[in-house]
Amino acid sequence: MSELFNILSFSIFLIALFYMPFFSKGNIKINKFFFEDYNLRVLNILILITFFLIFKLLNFKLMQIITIFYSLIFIFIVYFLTNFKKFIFEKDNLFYLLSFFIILFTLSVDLSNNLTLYWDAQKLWLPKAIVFLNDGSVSELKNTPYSHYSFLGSLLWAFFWKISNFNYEYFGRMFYIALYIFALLNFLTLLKIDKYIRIISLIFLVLITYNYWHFRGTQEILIFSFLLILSKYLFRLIVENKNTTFNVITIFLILNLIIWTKNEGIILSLITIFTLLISIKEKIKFKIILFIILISLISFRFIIFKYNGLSIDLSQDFNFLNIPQIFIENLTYSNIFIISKYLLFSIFKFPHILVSLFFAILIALDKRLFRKATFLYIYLLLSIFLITFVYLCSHQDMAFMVSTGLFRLMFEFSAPYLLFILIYFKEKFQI
Amino acid sequence: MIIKKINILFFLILILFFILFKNTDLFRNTYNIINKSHDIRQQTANDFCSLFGSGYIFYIKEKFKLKKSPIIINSFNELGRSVNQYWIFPNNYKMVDKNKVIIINFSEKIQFELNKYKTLDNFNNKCLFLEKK
Repeated sequence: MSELFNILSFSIFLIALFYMPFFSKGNIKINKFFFEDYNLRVLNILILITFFLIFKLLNFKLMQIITIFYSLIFIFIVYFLTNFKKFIFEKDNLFYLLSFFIILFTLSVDLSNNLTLYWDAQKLWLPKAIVFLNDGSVSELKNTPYSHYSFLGSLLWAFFWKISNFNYEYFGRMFYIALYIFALLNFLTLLKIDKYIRIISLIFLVLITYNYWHFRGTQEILIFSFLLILSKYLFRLIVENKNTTFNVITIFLILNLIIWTKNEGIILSLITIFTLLISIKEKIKFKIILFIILISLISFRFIIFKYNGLSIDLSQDFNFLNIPQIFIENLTYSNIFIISKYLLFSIFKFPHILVSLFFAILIALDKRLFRKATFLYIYLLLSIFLITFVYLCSHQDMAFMVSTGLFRLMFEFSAPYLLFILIYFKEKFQI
Repeated sequence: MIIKKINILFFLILILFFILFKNTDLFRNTYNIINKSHDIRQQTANDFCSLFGSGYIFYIKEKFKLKKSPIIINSFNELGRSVNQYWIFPNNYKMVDKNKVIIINFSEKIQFELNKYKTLDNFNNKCLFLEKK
């Protein structure tokens, strides 16, 4: 019974963290835009995760980061209580909080009973999390298998495992669930809909995307959630052309987190920025600056790895010097058939991809809508092309590689596809 | 009159929540969490005495109330596919009780001097928990 109570209390803690600040606006002087549609909450959680990462890169121990975290929470509470009368609270806050809580608690109970960890999680991610849990430094990761892999997910796992005070690793994974639900809820704020319809849409999205399979300790769900948050700002920037500075800052904060979560996040960030650069109506100078920022973020990641004595290999499954030769050797009908077969299977394995592609076809039939969603088609084609290309460049056994990795790769790339559904409803019903 | 006043959308939310509860087996999961300890649930969640054998390690941890990890040997590891299961004892990272050994997937291939150890637990001669004599 005590374990259930712990799950309950930790769910409340996570919701409070994701829902901060609770107020919408008041007498404080700050850009009105920040208070719209969860923007401040998104910024809050992204900056918080970035701080965890920076403190860890500066070799702070996990306990020290936790102390800083609690100090920040304390300052916020003091500020919140002393300025309480100045704030205006959204009238629907409680309704959203309650719905968020019910979903988080339900999925956390599922996690707590299932517990199974995937091979990758046991071999790659959990050992890294345990290093951090025991106040190990980044350089100590070289004693773990696959030390060349990015480690943000393991850091978050360790942080929330430790902060929970409940000795079980799955409390760290509860953060993944909270981030996933938050990303879905934030995504739905693109639609101007009634609170009941928003929650109905949220539960519907959870029903078509949730599976314990995503929470077995692998990192794809983090990439999926980050990309889903990013999708909203990509939409704002490209389709609505709104508040460029804020959207660009948010996009780069997320791209940085993606780069530090998984190695393929580097490739993913490149195709995202490529999609952005060819879709926004900005001066070429501005686009070059954006590209340079991304390259700097990627370079910084490699420099930090080198500095800490970690391998800067992206993957041991690839021989980067011989990629053109391997690609040509692998470019056979049978290999393309295997990849296509699993790509097709993945569409049926993940209902949200199937539904998204259905709406992609509907949008393609409408010229006006198609023009608005062009950037999504570019992303869709680039992601599928990239997945195919990556497998064709591997010198490992194709069937084994594809059967063990393609579903997960397809899932993590698929978050922006959901914009097809959203754009269709937004334009057809003017919501 | 009352029925009319109740929001249909609110009822739809309730129905969807129940579908979510059913899809994720909320009530059965809750029952299991209340009635089975974490380590017992881990035994059923993982391979018990095959492949990684994590379930067996949790079983031994629970049965003998182990705080430190014993040495863990898994013949499956020879294929390079096994994982390092010291994560099962996360609070005593890098601290291994060298007097105790768990062998998973025991076979003749494993070069191990069994006669120097006494057997504390034996599961089908395949998974063993041993202590130095």
